[in-house]
Amino acid sequence: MKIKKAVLDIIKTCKAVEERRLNPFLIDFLSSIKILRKYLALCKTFKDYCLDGKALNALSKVIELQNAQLLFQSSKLYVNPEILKRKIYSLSLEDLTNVFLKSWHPIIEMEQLTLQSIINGLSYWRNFSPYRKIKIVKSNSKAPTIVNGKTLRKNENLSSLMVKLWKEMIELTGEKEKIDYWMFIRKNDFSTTVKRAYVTSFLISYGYAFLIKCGDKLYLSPNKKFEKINYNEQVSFPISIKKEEA
Amino acid sequence: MEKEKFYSNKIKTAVHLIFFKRGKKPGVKEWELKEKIGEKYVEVLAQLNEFLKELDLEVVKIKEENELFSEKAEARYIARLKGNLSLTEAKLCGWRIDNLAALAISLSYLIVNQGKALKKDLEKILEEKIGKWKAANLIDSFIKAGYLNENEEKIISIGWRTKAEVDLKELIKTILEA
Repeated sequence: MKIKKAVLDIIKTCKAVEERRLNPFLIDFLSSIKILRKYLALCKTFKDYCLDGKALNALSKVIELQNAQLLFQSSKLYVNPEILKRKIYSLSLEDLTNVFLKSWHPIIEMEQLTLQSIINGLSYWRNFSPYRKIKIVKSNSKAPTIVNGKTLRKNENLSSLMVKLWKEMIELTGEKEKIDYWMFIRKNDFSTTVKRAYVTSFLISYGYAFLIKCGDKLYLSPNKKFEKINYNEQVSFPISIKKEEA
Repeated sequence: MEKEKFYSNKIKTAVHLIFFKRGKKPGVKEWELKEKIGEKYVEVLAQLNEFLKELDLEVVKIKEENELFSEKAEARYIARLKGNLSLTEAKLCGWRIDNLAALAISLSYLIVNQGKALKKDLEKILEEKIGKWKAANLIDSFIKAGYLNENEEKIISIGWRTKAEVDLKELIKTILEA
Protein backbone atom coordinates (compact mmCIF):
# COMPACT_ATOMS: atom_id res chain seq x y z
CA MET A 1 0.00 0.00 0.00
CA LYS A 2 1.90 2.96 -1.35
CA ILE A 3 -0.71 5.47 -0.24
CA LYS A 4 -0.75 4.17 3.33
CA LYS A 5 3.00 4.65 3.50
CA ALA A 6 2.55 8.23 2.31
CA VAL A 7 -0.01 8.86 5.09
CA LEU A 8 2.39 7.41 7.67
CA ASP A 9 5.10 9.69 6.31
CA ILE A 10 2.82 12.71 6.76
CA ILE A 11 2.24 11.75 10.42
CA LYS A 12 5.98 11.27 10.94
CA THR A 13 6.85 14.65 9.41
CA CYS A 14 4.15 16.42 11.45
CA LYS A 15 5.54 14.80 14.61
CA ALA A 16 9.01 16.15 13.73
CA VAL A 17 7.51 19.62 13.36
CA GLU A 18 5.77 19.31 16.71
CA GLU A 19 9.08 18.34 18.30
CA ARG A 20 10.64 21.46 16.76
CA ARG A 21 12.97 19.45 14.57
CA LEU A 22 11.48 20.88 11.37
CA ASN A 23 10.19 24.22 10.26
CA PRO A 24 6.35 24.07 10.09
CA PHE A 25 6.42 25.93 6.79
CA LEU A 26 8.32 23.08 5.13
CA ILE A 27 5.20 20.92 4.94
CA ASP A 28 3.40 20.93 1.60
CA PHE A 29 -0.24 21.09 2.67
CA LEU A 30 -1.85 20.81 -0.75
CA SER A 31 -0.12 17.56 -1.64
CA SER A 32 -0.67 16.20 1.90
CA ILE A 33 -4.40 16.88 1.68
CA LYS A 34 -4.53 15.26 -1.77
CA ILE A 35 -2.89 12.15 -0.36
CA LEU A 36 -5.36 12.07 2.51
CA ARG A 37 -8.31 12.43 0.12
CA LYS A 38 -7.08 9.50 -1.95
CA TYR A 39 -6.53 7.45 1.18
CA LEU A 40 -10.00 8.28 2.51
CA ALA A 41 -11.55 6.92 -0.69
CA LEU A 42 -9.69 3.64 -0.14
CA CYS A 43 -10.47 3.35 3.59
CA LYS A 44 -12.28 0.13 4.46
CA THR A 45 -11.68 -0.76 8.08
CA PHE A 46 -12.01 1.22 11.29
CA LYS A 47 -8.23 1.22 11.62
CA ASP A 48 -7.88 2.92 8.22
CA TYR A 49 -10.29 5.67 9.23
CA CYS A 50 -8.39 6.15 12.51
CA LEU A 51 -5.12 6.57 10.62
CA ASP A 52 -6.75 9.13 8.33
CA GLY A 53 -8.06 11.02 11.37
CA LYS A 54 -4.66 10.91 13.02
CA ALA A 55 -2.97 12.37 9.94
CA LEU A 56 -5.56 15.12 9.67
CA ASN A 57 -5.12 15.97 13.35
CA ALA A 58 -1.32 16.12 12.93
CA LEU A 59 -1.71 18.48 9.97
CA SER A 60 -4.01 20.77 11.97
CA LYS A 61 -1.39 20.95 14.73
CA VAL A 62 1.19 22.03 12.17
CA ILE A 63 -1.14 24.83 11.03
CA GLU A 64 -1.40 25.89 14.68
CA LEU A 65 2.40 25.99 14.89
CA GLN A 66 2.61 27.99 11.67
CA ASN A 67 0.21 30.51 13.20
CA ALA A 68 2.29 30.68 16.38
CA GLN A 69 5.46 31.21 14.38
CA LEU A 70 3.92 34.04 12.36
CA LEU A 71 2.74 35.73 15.54
CA PHE A 72 6.17 35.27 17.08
CA GLN A 73 7.96 36.64 14.02
CA SER A 74 5.82 39.76 14.17
CA SER A 75 6.66 40.26 17.86
CA LYS A 76 9.60 42.23 19.22
CA LEU A 77 11.30 39.03 20.43
CA TYR A 78 11.90 37.69 16.96
CA VAL A 79 15.50 37.32 15.91
CA ASN A 80 16.90 35.14 13.20
CA PRO A 81 18.24 32.06 15.06
CA GLU A 82 21.38 31.94 12.92
CA ILE A 83 22.29 35.55 13.72
CA LEU A 84 21.82 34.91 17.42
CA LYS A 85 23.88 31.69 17.26
CA ARG A 86 26.73 33.56 15.60
CA LYS A 87 26.49 36.29 18.20
CA ILE A 88 26.60 33.78 21.06
CA TYR A 89 29.66 32.03 19.60
CA SER A 90 31.48 35.32 19.13
CA LEU A 91 30.90 36.60 22.69
CA SER A 92 33.09 35.52 25.59
CA LEU A 93 31.57 34.00 28.73
CA GLU A 94 32.20 37.18 30.67
CA ASP A 95 30.50 39.31 28.01
CA LEU A 96 27.51 36.99 28.00
CA THR A 97 27.32 37.21 31.80
CA ASN A 98 27.43 41.00 31.70
CA VAL A 99 24.69 41.04 29.09
CA PHE A 100 22.56 38.73 31.20
CA LEU A 101 23.07 40.77 34.36
CA LYS A 102 21.57 43.81 32.62
CA SER A 103 18.24 42.04 32.21
CA TRP A 104 18.26 39.99 35.40
CA HIS A 105 16.27 41.01 38.49
CA PRO A 106 16.64 38.14 40.97
CA ILE A 107 13.82 37.33 43.37
CA ILE A 108 14.25 38.19 47.04
CA GLU A 109 13.39 35.20 49.17
CA MET A 110 14.11 34.54 52.80
CA GLU A 111 14.30 30.91 53.74
CA GLN A 112 13.47 29.83 57.26
CA LEU A 113 13.53 26.64 59.28
CA THR A 114 10.21 24.94 59.69
CA LEU A 115 9.36 21.73 61.48
CA GLN A 116 8.84 20.01 58.14
CA SER A 117 12.20 21.18 56.77
CA ILE A 118 13.97 19.88 59.90
CA ILE A 119 12.25 16.50 59.52
CA ASN A 120 13.19 16.38 55.82
CA GLY A 121 16.82 17.25 56.63
CA LEU A 122 17.05 14.65 59.36
CA SER A 123 15.66 11.87 57.21
CA TYR A 124 18.05 12.88 54.40
CA TRP A 125 21.17 12.65 56.57
CA ARG A 126 20.01 9.50 58.36
CA ASN A 127 19.82 7.70 55.05
CA PHE A 128 23.57 8.08 54.60
CA SER A 129 25.95 5.46 55.99
CA PRO A 130 28.84 7.11 57.83
CA TYR A 131 31.83 7.55 55.54
CA ARG A 132 34.20 5.87 58.00
CA LYS A 133 32.09 2.71 58.02
CA ILE A 134 31.94 2.54 54.24
CA LYS A 135 35.71 2.99 54.07
CA ILE A 136 36.32 0.17 56.58
CA VAL A 137 34.01 -2.23 54.76
CA LYS A 138 35.68 -1.45 51.43
CA SER A 139 39.28 -1.70 52.63
CA ASN A 140 39.00 -4.60 55.08
CA SER A 141 37.24 -7.69 53.90
CA LYS A 142 37.41 -9.19 57.40
CA ALA A 143 35.43 -6.37 58.93
CA PRO A 144 32.13 -7.41 60.47
CA THR A 145 29.13 -7.03 58.23
CA ILE A 146 26.81 -4.19 59.05
CA VAL A 147 23.43 -5.39 60.22
CA ASN A 148 20.95 -3.21 58.47
CA GLY A 149 17.18 -3.03 58.62
CA LYS A 150 16.79 -5.48 55.74
CA THR A 151 18.78 -8.21 57.49
CA LEU A 152 16.80 -7.68 60.66
CA ARG A 153 13.57 -7.96 58.76
CA LYS A 154 14.88 -11.15 57.11
CA ASN A 155 15.60 -12.57 60.55
CA GLU A 156 12.11 -11.70 61.69
CA ASN A 157 10.72 -13.49 58.66
CA LEU A 158 12.90 -16.49 59.36
CA SER A 159 11.72 -16.83 62.95
CA SER A 160 8.08 -16.59 61.94
CA LEU A 161 8.71 -19.22 59.26
CA MET A 162 10.42 -21.43 61.84
CA VAL A 163 7.42 -21.22 64.18
CA LYS A 164 5.06 -21.99 61.29
CA LEU A 165 7.08 -25.00 60.17
CA TRP A 166 7.54 -26.26 63.72
CA LYS A 167 3.77 -26.16 64.30
CA GLU A 168 3.23 -27.94 60.99
CA MET A 169 5.73 -30.61 62.02
CA ILE A 170 3.87 -31.21 65.32
CA GLU A 171 0.57 -31.39 63.46
CA LEU A 172 1.86 -33.84 60.87
CA THR A 173 3.60 -36.03 63.41
CA GLY A 174 0.42 -36.28 65.48
CA GLU A 175 0.65 -39.12 67.92
CA LYS A 176 3.63 -40.65 66.17
CA GLU A 177 7.03 -39.62 67.37
CA LYS A 178 8.65 -38.90 64.04
CA ILE A 179 8.02 -38.04 60.43
CA ASP A 180 9.98 -38.85 57.31
CA TYR A 181 12.39 -36.01 56.51
CA TRP A 182 11.72 -36.01 52.75
CA MET A 183 8.00 -36.30 53.23
CA PHE A 184 8.09 -33.23 55.44
CA ILE A 185 10.24 -30.95 53.36
CA ARG A 186 9.07 -31.99 49.89
CA LYS A 187 6.52 -29.70 48.26
CA ASN A 188 5.25 -29.19 44.74
CA ASP A 189 8.10 -27.01 43.53
CA PHE A 190 11.84 -27.16 44.01
CA SER A 191 12.28 -23.68 45.49
CA THR A 192 9.69 -24.33 48.24
CA THR A 193 11.38 -27.65 49.04
CA VAL A 194 14.77 -25.98 49.38
CA LYS A 195 13.23 -23.20 51.50
CA ARG A 196 11.61 -25.76 53.83
CA ALA A 197 14.90 -27.70 54.09
CA TYR A 198 16.69 -24.44 54.93
CA VAL A 199 14.24 -23.46 57.68
CA THR A 200 14.17 -27.04 59.00
CA SER A 201 17.94 -26.94 59.40
CA PHE A 202 17.46 -23.96 61.73
CA LEU A 203 14.77 -25.83 63.67
CA ILE A 204 17.23 -28.67 64.20
CA SER A 205 20.10 -26.33 65.06
CA TYR A 206 18.04 -24.43 67.64
CA GLY A 207 16.60 -27.57 69.19
CA TYR A 208 13.01 -27.26 68.01
CA ALA A 209 13.38 -30.59 66.21
CA PHE A 210 15.66 -33.61 66.14
CA LEU A 211 17.10 -35.30 63.11
CA ILE A 212 17.14 -39.08 63.49
CA LYS A 213 19.07 -41.31 61.14
CA CYS A 214 17.73 -44.82 60.79
CA GLY A 215 19.74 -46.76 58.24
CA ASP A 216 19.29 -44.94 54.95
CA LYS A 217 16.27 -43.08 56.15
CA LEU A 218 16.10 -39.71 57.84
CA TYR A 219 13.37 -38.77 60.28
CA LEU A 220 12.37 -35.57 61.99
CA SER A 221 11.01 -35.48 65.51
CA PRO A 222 9.59 -32.19 66.88
CA ASN A 223 10.68 -31.06 70.31
CA LYS A 224 7.38 -30.13 71.90
CA LYS A 225 9.01 -28.88 75.09
CA PHE A 226 11.02 -26.08 73.52
CA GLU A 227 14.22 -27.31 74.99
CA LYS A 228 17.28 -25.25 74.24
CA ILE A 229 20.07 -26.79 72.28
CA ASN A 230 23.16 -28.17 73.85
CA TYR A 231 25.89 -26.70 71.69
CA ASN A 232 28.44 -29.37 72.67
CA GLU A 233 26.40 -31.99 70.88
CA GLN A 234 25.95 -29.93 67.72
CA VAL A 235 26.73 -31.86 64.59
CA SER A 236 26.83 -30.87 60.98
CA PHE A 237 24.71 -33.06 58.76
CA PRO A 238 24.79 -32.16 55.06
CA ILE A 239 21.78 -33.23 53.03
CA SER A 240 21.84 -32.55 49.32
CA ILE A 241 18.60 -31.89 47.50
CA LYS A 242 18.47 -32.85 43.88
CA LYS A 243 15.94 -31.29 41.56
CA GLU A 244 14.53 -34.71 40.68
CA GLU A 245 13.90 -35.46 44.33
CA ALA A 246 11.86 -32.30 44.88
CA MET B 1 -9.61 66.53 47.46
CA GLU B 2 -9.74 63.16 49.18
CA LYS B 3 -6.73 62.48 51.35
CA GLU B 4 -4.87 59.30 50.47
CA LYS B 5 -5.06 56.60 53.12
CA PHE B 6 -1.90 55.09 54.54
CA TYR B 7 -2.01 51.38 55.36
CA SER B 8 0.81 50.94 57.85
CA ASN B 9 -0.20 47.56 59.34
CA LYS B 10 -1.30 46.16 56.03
CA ILE B 11 2.07 47.01 54.48
CA LYS B 12 3.77 45.03 57.25
CA THR B 13 1.48 42.05 56.63
CA ALA B 14 2.23 42.25 52.91
CA VAL B 15 5.99 42.27 53.61
CA HIS B 16 5.65 39.19 55.83
CA LEU B 17 3.67 37.36 53.18
CA ILE B 18 5.86 38.28 50.22
CA PHE B 19 9.36 38.19 51.66
CA PHE B 20 9.30 34.98 53.65
CA LYS B 21 9.26 31.79 51.65
CA ARG B 22 6.60 29.40 52.90
CA GLY B 23 5.93 27.01 50.04
CA LYS B 24 8.04 25.69 47.21
CA LYS B 25 7.86 28.97 45.33
CA PRO B 26 8.64 32.36 46.78
CA GLY B 27 6.06 35.14 47.07
CA VAL B 28 2.35 35.03 47.72
CA LYS B 29 -0.69 34.11 45.65
CA GLU B 30 -3.08 36.89 44.73
CA TRP B 31 -6.08 35.32 46.47
CA GLU B 32 -4.06 34.90 49.66
CA LEU B 33 -3.06 38.55 49.59
CA LYS B 34 -6.68 39.56 49.01
CA GLU B 35 -7.79 37.41 51.91
CA LYS B 36 -5.19 38.71 54.37
CA ILE B 37 -5.04 42.38 53.33
CA GLY B 38 -8.46 42.99 51.81
CA GLU B 39 -9.84 44.28 48.55
CA LYS B 40 -7.49 47.27 48.54
CA TYR B 41 -4.35 45.13 48.36
CA VAL B 42 -3.27 46.81 45.11
CA GLU B 43 -3.10 50.18 46.87
CA VAL B 44 -1.19 48.61 49.75
CA LEU B 45 1.33 47.12 47.31
CA ALA B 46 1.72 50.47 45.56
CA GLN B 47 2.59 52.07 48.90
CA LEU B 48 4.96 49.22 49.69
CA ASN B 49 6.66 49.73 46.33
CA GLU B 50 7.25 53.36 47.24
CA PHE B 51 9.26 52.22 50.27
CA LEU B 52 11.05 49.47 48.37
CA LYS B 53 12.09 51.84 45.59
CA GLU B 54 14.57 53.39 47.99
CA LEU B 55 16.11 49.95 48.55
CA ASP B 56 16.28 49.09 44.84
CA LEU B 57 13.57 46.49 45.26
CA GLU B 58 10.07 46.08 43.83
CA VAL B 59 7.00 43.89 44.16
CA VAL B 60 5.76 42.56 40.85
CA LYS B 61 2.90 40.39 39.69
CA ILE B 62 3.69 37.23 37.76
CA LYS B 63 1.31 34.74 36.23
CA GLU B 64 1.30 31.25 37.67
CA GLU B 65 1.65 28.34 35.30
CA ASN B 66 0.37 24.77 35.31
CA GLU B 67 -2.92 25.73 36.87
CA LEU B 68 -4.60 22.66 35.47
CA PHE B 69 -7.89 22.99 37.19
CA SER B 70 -8.47 26.69 37.05
CA GLU B 71 -9.67 28.35 33.91
CA LYS B 72 -8.10 31.65 34.85
CA ALA B 73 -4.34 31.64 35.50
CA GLU B 74 -3.60 32.47 39.13
CA ALA B 75 -1.31 35.43 39.76
CA ARG B 76 1.52 35.57 42.30
CA TYR B 77 3.28 38.56 43.81
CA ILE B 78 7.01 38.39 44.35
CA ALA B 79 9.68 40.81 45.53
CA ARG B 80 12.69 41.23 43.28
CA LEU B 81 15.63 43.49 42.64
CA LYS B 82 14.57 46.59 40.73
CA GLY B 83 18.00 47.38 39.32
CA ASN B 84 20.80 45.01 38.37
CA LEU B 85 23.57 43.17 40.15
CA SER B 86 27.18 43.78 39.22
CA LEU B 87 29.38 40.85 38.24
CA THR B 88 31.14 40.91 41.61
CA GLU B 89 27.82 40.96 43.48
CA ALA B 90 26.51 38.06 41.42
CA LYS B 91 29.65 36.10 42.29
CA LEU B 92 29.09 36.88 45.96
CA CYS B 93 25.58 35.46 45.64
CA GLY B 94 27.17 32.15 44.66
CA TRP B 95 26.88 32.38 40.89
CA ARG B 96 29.77 31.45 38.63
CA ILE B 97 30.45 33.39 35.44
CA ASP B 98 30.07 30.33 33.23
CA ASN B 99 26.80 29.38 34.92
CA LEU B 100 25.30 32.80 34.28
CA ALA B 101 26.62 32.76 30.72
CA ALA B 102 25.08 29.30 30.21
CA LEU B 103 21.75 30.60 31.50
CA ALA B 104 21.96 33.55 29.11
CA ILE B 105 22.70 31.23 26.18
CA SER B 106 19.90 28.81 27.14
CA LEU B 107 17.31 31.55 27.48
CA SER B 108 18.25 33.36 24.30
CA TYR B 109 18.23 30.07 22.38
CA LEU B 110 14.78 29.25 23.73
CA ILE B 111 13.47 32.73 22.92
CA VAL B 112 14.45 32.53 19.27
CA ASN B 113 12.86 29.10 19.11
CA GLN B 114 9.53 30.43 20.39
CA GLY B 115 10.22 29.35 23.95
CA LYS B 116 10.76 25.64 23.29
CA ALA B 117 13.65 23.43 22.17
CA LEU B 118 14.79 19.83 22.35
CA LYS B 119 17.09 19.14 25.28
CA LYS B 120 19.79 17.60 23.09
CA ASP B 121 19.78 20.68 20.82
CA LEU B 122 20.22 22.97 23.79
CA GLU B 123 22.98 20.74 25.16
CA LYS B 124 24.74 20.89 21.81
CA ILE B 125 24.77 24.68 21.74
CA LEU B 126 25.98 24.88 25.36
CA GLU B 127 28.69 22.29 24.77
CA GLU B 128 30.40 24.65 22.35
CA LYS B 129 30.82 27.27 25.05
CA ILE B 130 31.15 25.45 28.36
CA GLY B 131 31.97 21.81 27.63
CA LYS B 132 29.94 18.62 27.35
CA TRP B 133 29.64 17.32 30.90
CA LYS B 134 28.94 20.73 32.34
CA ALA B 135 26.21 21.48 29.80
CA ALA B 136 23.97 18.59 30.87
CA ASN B 137 24.56 19.28 34.57
CA LEU B 138 23.76 22.96 34.22
CA ILE B 139 20.55 22.34 32.28
CA ASP B 140 19.42 20.04 35.09
CA SER B 141 20.27 22.62 37.75
CA PHE B 142 18.39 25.34 35.81
CA ILE B 143 15.38 23.04 35.63
CA LYS B 144 15.62 22.42 39.37
CA ALA B 145 15.81 26.13 40.12
CA GLY B 146 12.78 26.87 37.92
CA TYR B 147 14.59 28.79 35.18
CA LEU B 148 13.75 26.05 32.69
CA ASN B 149 11.04 23.43 32.35
CA GLU B 150 11.33 19.93 30.92
CA ASN B 151 8.49 17.69 29.78
CA GLU B 152 8.33 13.91 29.23
CA GLU B 153 9.33 14.32 25.59
CA LYS B 154 12.59 16.02 26.64
CA ILE B 155 11.44 19.39 25.36
CA ILE B 156 12.82 22.33 27.31
CA SER B 157 10.78 25.48 27.77
CA ILE B 158 11.09 28.71 29.75
CA GLY B 159 10.37 28.22 33.45
CA TRP B 160 8.41 30.27 36.00
CA ARG B 161 11.53 31.82 37.55
CA THR B 162 12.75 33.16 34.22
CA LYS B 163 9.37 34.79 33.65
CA ALA B 164 9.64 36.38 37.09
CA GLU B 165 13.28 37.44 37.00
CA VAL B 166 14.42 38.02 33.44
CA ASP B 167 13.40 40.78 31.06
CA LEU B 168 13.53 38.67 27.91
CA LYS B 169 13.18 41.54 25.44
CA GLU B 170 16.03 43.35 27.15
CA LEU B 171 18.16 40.19 27.07
CA ILE B 172 17.79 39.70 23.31
CA LYS B 173 18.33 43.38 22.68
CA THR B 174 21.52 43.52 24.71
CA ILE B 175 22.91 40.32 23.19
CA LEU B 176 22.45 41.68 19.69
CA GLU B 177 23.92 45.03 20.66
CA ALA B 178 26.95 43.53 22.41
